[in-house]
Amino acid sequence: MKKEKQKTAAAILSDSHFLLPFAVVVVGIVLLILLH
Amino acid sequence: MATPVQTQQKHFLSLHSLGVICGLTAAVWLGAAEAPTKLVNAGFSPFAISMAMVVGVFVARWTFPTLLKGTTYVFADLAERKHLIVWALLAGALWAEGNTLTVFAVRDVGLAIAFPLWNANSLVGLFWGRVLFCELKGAHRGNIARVVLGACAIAAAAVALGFSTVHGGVVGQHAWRGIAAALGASLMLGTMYVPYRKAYLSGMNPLSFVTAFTVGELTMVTTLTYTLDGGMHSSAFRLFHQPGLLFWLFLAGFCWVVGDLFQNFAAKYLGIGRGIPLSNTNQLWGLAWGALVFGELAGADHKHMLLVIGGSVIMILGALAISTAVASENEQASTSEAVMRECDRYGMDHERVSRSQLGDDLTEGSQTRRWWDYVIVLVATGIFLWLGLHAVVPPLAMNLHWVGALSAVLVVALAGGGWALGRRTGFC
Repeated sequence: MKKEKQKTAAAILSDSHFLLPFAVVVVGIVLLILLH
Repeated sequence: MATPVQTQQKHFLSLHSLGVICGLTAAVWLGAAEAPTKLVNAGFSPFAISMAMVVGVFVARWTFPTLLKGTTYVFADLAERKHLIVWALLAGALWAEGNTLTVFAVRDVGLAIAFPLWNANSLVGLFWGRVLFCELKGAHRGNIARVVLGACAIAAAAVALGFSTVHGGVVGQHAWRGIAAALGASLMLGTMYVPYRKAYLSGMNPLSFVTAFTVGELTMVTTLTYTLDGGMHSSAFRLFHQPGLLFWLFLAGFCWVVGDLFQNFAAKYLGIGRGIPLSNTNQLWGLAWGALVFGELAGADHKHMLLVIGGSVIMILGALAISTAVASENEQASTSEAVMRECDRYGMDHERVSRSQLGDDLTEGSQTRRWWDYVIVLVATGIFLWLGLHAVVPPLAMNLHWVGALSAVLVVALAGGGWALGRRTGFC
C-alpha cells in the first residue's frame, strides 16, 4: 500500500501535466507578491 | 462487443452536440454571474468582493448539484481517482490567482488595455490542449481552421464587447505592472484548463472535480485576502457582517458555479480547445445584463454601438465555427492515445476510463442519496434563503422587465442543458 502511494506520488511529481500548472501557480504567487 | 464510437451512435444526441449545449449553457450562466456584483459597490476592496463570491460558490456547490449526485457518488469517484484531487486543487488555486491579478491589471492600466490581454486565456488553453493532450492531432485542416479561427474570433469579439462599456479608460502610474498582471491573469486562467482536461481524460465526473476545485479556490482566495488585503483588517470580514449585501455576491457565486459545472461538462465532451472558447461567449450575456438591465449603453455613441454589434456577430460566428467542427475518427484516435497514457501512468483500467469518458455511469451502488445529502442541501439552501430574506436592493436604476426576460433565459438554458445531460449521460 505504502509502495503504491509512493509510486503514485512519483508519477505525479514527474508528470509534465502537473509540473506546468504547479510552476504557473508559483509564478502567480511571485507576481502577486511583486505587484502588491 | 461495441466500440466506443459504435456505442455513441446509438444515442439520440452525440457527445459533440452535448458538449456544445453545455458550453453555450455555461456562457449564459457565467455571463449572468457578473450582474449581482454590480449591486455591491459600497467601498469594499476587490479582495473582499472576490472572497465573498467564492464563499458563495462553495455554498452553492452544496445546493441542488448535491441532488444530481450525492456525496457517496462524489467521494467514491474521488477515491477511485485520488491522484486527480491534486489537479482540482491546483485549478482552484489558479482561478483565485488569475482573478486577483485581473484586479491589479484593471487598477494599473484600466480595462481598455487589460481586456485584450486577459481575454487571450482561451487561446492559452487551446495551446496547452494541443501541446499537452494532443487535441486537434489528426484533425483535418477544415476542423483545425474552424477551431483556431473560431477561438480567435471569440477572443477578439470579447475584447470588442469589453471596449463597448469602457468610456475613457484610465491608465495608472504603473502601466508595466498592470500589463504584467493582465498577462499573468491570462496565463493563470488559460493554464487552469490543463487540470480540467487531465481530469476528464481520466473519466472523472465534473461534479467531483468541481467539489475539490472549490476547496482549492476557497483556500487560495482566503490566503490572498489575508496576506494582501490587510489581514484581519480586510474589509472582507466587515462584509460578512452585512447579509443585505452578501446575498448578491452569494447569488453571483451561485450563477458562477452552475456555469462552471456546464463549462466542465463541455471540457469533458469537447476538450478544452473547443469547450472553453464556447463558454467564453459569456461576455455576450454579461453585456446583455449590463446594457438591458443596468442601461450601461444608454447614450453610447456610434463607435460604441458598432463595437457591440460587430463584436456580437463575430462572437456568434466564432461559436458556430467551433460548434460545427466535429472531431474525426483520426482525432478521436489521438484522444484515445492520451487516455492510454493516463491509464499507463496511474494504473487505471483503460476500458473503464474510456467508458466513463463517454458518459457511461460505472459507479454501481453509490447512486443512492443518503439522509445527510438532504441535510446538506437544506442547510446550503437555508443559507441562501436567510441571506435573501435580509437582502437589500440598492437604489440603482434597473429594468425589471429585462431582469425577468434574462432570468427566463437562465431557467430555459438550465432546463435544456440539464435535460440533455441527464438524458444522455445521467450527469456523468
